[in-house]
Order: sequence, then structure tokens, then C-alpha cells
Amino acid sequence: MLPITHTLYLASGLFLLGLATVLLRRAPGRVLLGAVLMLAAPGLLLASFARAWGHTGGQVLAALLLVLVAVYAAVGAALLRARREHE
Amino acid sequence: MHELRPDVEAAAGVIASVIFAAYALVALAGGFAVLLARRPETALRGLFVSLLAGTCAYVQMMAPGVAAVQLVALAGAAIAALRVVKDEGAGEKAWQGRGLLAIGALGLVALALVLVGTWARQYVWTGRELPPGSSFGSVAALGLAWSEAHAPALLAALLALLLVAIVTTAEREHRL
Repeated sequence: MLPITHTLYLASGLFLLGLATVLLRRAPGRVLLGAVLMLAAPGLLLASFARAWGHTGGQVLAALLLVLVAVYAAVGAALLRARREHE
Repeated sequence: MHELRPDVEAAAGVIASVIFAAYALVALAGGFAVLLARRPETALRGLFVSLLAGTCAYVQMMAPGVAAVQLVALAGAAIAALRVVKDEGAGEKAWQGRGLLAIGALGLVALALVLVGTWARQYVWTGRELPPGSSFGSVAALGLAWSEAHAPALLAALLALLLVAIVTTAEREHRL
């Protein structure tokens, strides 16, 4: 079985790459992609800690987080497209 | 369930770590593509690869239910983002006057990873043993937990999905 340290490394790496994208890129679409990467990373931590403690609650929270990230991406994309159509 | 010999158990642990490291490398490479790719389609492809590798990691962490949610929900979100990103073109000059900031940010990323690793060393713990035959993490177990113990979370997810349905399928003139 995996030590939870592995997941901590992966999730923090993905979060920081997303953060760098949000801070350094200018195009709104690219910032949206970075934010999705940033928001999806903690799901890994939640699932990992849920397994470590043998508690399903963490997995439920991870699934909810992923649904909310998808909603954020879809609404963000719709808003960006609408703004582009108006310009 | 029979006990594994200690040497077999240790070898299984090493193999699991190596497989996880492979997923992690692919996920991080996708993350770098999001940050560094010139063409927006390449960045989107990088995000998709990163999330797909994350899905494999979920399966290895005994969370196939969460992996299924990630595949379905985020594939939809990626398709939604595709239309926006395609229009963006490759005209963006990413590092205009931001070279120093970029180098500083990458240095901070490296430092943060070292700090997280140092802090996390105290948690080199593989977690609680599950009872034999446990269905922990399966889609059925996740669905049961979601519907029984965490009904408000299910309600929130359904409301969020309703919002996406409205945003993506409404008439053009009434769309957000």
C-alpha cells in the first residue's frame, strides 16, 4: 500500500503548477485551465487521507470537489465565450 | 485472507510505489504542458493527460468511485473548455517582461516541494488496514455513503450539475 507522502508530493506539485499558470499566463482560457488544475489537486489528498483513515467521507468530499471543479470550468468557459461574442 | 510473506509484501510495496511514480510523472508532465505550451490546444491536452493520470492514481488509492466521477465530470469540462481555448489562438506572448517572475516562481515551487517533503516525512504511514473483503472505495460504497450519510453533498452536486445543464444547453440568446 502507498505511503501518503507520495500523494502529498503529487498533489502539491499539481497545485503549484496550476498556481504558476494562473499567475504567469495572460490568456483567460489558459488561466481557466490553470485554475482547474489547481482545484483538482486537493481531490487526490482527500482520497488518499480517506484511504489512510478508512473513512468514506473523504472520498465523498473528493467526488463533490471534482463535480464543483467541472461546474466551475463549464461556467467559466461559457462566460469567456459569451464575452468574446460580445466583443 | 492469507498473510503475505514479509519479503513479498515489501516487494509489492516497492512495485506499487514505482507504478504511482509513473502516474505522478505523467500528471506533472501534463501540468508543465499547461504552464509552458505555446499552443492552447497543447495546454488543454496536457490538462487532460494530467487528469487522466490522476484518475489512475485514484484507482490505485482504492477510490474507483472518485475516479469515475473525475472521468465523467472533467471530460465534460474539458470539452466545454475546448471551444474557448480553440478561439484563443497562439498569439499570447506568455513571458512578456515576466522572466524574473517565472524564475522566482519556479524556485518557489522547488522550495515548496522540498518543504512539503520534509514536513510529510513524519507521515510515512500507509494507513489503517481494511477488513478482509471490504468494498471500501467501490462505486457502490461511494454511492451508499453519498446517499445515506452525506445527502446534503449529493444535493449540492446535483444542483451544480443542474447549473451546468442550464449554462450549456439554454437557448443561444438566453445563454450566460
